[in-house]
Amino acid sequence: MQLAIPRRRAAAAARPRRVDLLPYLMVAPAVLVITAFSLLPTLYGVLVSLYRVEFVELLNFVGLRNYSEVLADPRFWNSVRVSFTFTGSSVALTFVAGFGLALLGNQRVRFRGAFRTIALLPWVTSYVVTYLIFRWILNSDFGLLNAVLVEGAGLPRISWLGEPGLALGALVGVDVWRAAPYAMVLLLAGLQGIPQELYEAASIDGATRVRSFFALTLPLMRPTILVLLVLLTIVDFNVVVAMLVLTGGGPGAATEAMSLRMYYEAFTYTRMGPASAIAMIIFAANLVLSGVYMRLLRTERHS
Amino acid sequence: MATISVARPTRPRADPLQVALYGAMAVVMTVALLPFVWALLTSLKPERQVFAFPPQLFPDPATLYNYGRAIDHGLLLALFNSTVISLTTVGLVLVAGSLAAYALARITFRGSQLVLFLIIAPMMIPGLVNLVPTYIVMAKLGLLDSYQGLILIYWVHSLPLAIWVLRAFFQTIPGELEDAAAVDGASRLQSLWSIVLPLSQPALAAVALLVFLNAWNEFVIASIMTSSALMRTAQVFLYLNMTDVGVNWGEMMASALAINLPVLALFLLLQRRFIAGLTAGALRF
Repeated sequence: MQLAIPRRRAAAAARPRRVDLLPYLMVAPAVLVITAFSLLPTLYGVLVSLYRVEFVELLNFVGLRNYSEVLADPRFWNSVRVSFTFTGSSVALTFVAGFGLALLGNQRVRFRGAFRTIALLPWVTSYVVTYLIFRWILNSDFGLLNAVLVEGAGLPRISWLGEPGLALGALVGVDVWRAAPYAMVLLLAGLQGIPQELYEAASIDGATRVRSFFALTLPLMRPTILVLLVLLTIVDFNVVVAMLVLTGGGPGAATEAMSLRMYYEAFTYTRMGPASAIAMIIFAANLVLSGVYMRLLRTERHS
Repeated sequence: MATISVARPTRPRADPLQVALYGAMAVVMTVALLPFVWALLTSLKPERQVFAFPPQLFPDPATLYNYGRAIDHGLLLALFNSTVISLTTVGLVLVAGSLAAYALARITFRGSQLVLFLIIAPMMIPGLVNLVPTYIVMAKLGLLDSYQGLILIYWVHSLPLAIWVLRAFFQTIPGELEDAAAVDGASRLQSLWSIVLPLSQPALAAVALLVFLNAWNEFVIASIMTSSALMRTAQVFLYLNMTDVGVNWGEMMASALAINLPVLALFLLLQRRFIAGLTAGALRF
């Protein structure tokens, strides 16, 4: 690549000064649709959040009234709490489970291929399918989990999706089941980037496996780990379908995250103004997280 | 991302660590598979066995009745809609994506940095933020409840990552090959078509799979964009059946598995490409 640059520059200088339209035509379709249907809608979303909106018509400018309405609503603050509880516990547990899976998948053992394939099945399965299957498994009357508890262990039936704490716990549990394979793939890529000679050198120096894990693996994996944590955080923070399908945000509003709150405001109650205000607050949170992500990547590239 | 694995010294057979390792792997594989197996068993049961407590493990007799019911309720149309939308999206992403990626990777032109920024910027905007404005724009354009509307949105959503991955891949192809073709009088587009694209098959396949998976599995946008039963995608069909029809779990599991089958089959056939696509999205960034 480095060799190609001076050569191309020389060619450009030699050519007569005439604008070559070809590259512009080549990028035009992508740039036009992305600008029209991704970048401009984001700006339009800012506008919508400052208007009184009826269905899809922007009626009149109301300044920050949508925001103050949202911030005065206890359901919003409840959703903030749910978002942070869900995201925090889900990210932490997914990371631990994913790291375990990656260490297993990295061992030189038989069936490693089969292990990786099967462990990844949850990742290709859609949210709706995943959460629907678990809604059936967690069903309090006929579900598999209660059957095992009642018949196998003689415990009383548990209403998994009917109690606030349990419902949130179930959401986190299923999310870990779904996301741990994703964490595994990224962490495996990181693990395989560590030169094997380092471990050999460490073991010659008398380091145990546990010691080389903490002294070698973890520090060398730091960039991958940080990127993974931020990616997982952004995904969990923006998830709608998990709550929509598994609990519908219930019982009450116990599992109604900010993302689901926004979805309901917009498409159940058709209150587009307040919904946009919530969207902007979520966007701000995401920008902070993305900023962290970019910073981490920059340090990764320099090291 | 090639698998680098250097043989560790082989250990004696009865190593307790090995035993624990295999045990842990077995547990993980069971946990990953069990929900699918249970869904399959449920889908093959007659209704009174679905609603039995304690549940009967195996269907007796196994029946495809639930699959028939799902088809009666519109499963095939939903699968057809999703197929049309996902495949068209893949095609559009590959065409517009390769063109833009090639220009950005291979041609020096004024404003290329700005173009790259405009293309990459949406990756920083979560889809959720654009939900309301997208809905309003689509309503005003009259594209709600149509193939075109959904395809357009999925196209736009997939392009940034596709261009990012393809551009990185095109940059790794030696320029000498194209220089030789240029000497022989090949135009830029000819050399993209006959030299760069054939050499980029792994990257194109990874992108195609990832785009297909995302379009096939997407729910939130599809749920707000489709209102008539005729336009429902597979995921929307599944969700609405859960809320509309009361919950007939046998039929729901049948639909869920049928809808998951295409991505599962693709994944099992082309696993390596899938993983390449997944890691490309996250790590090359």
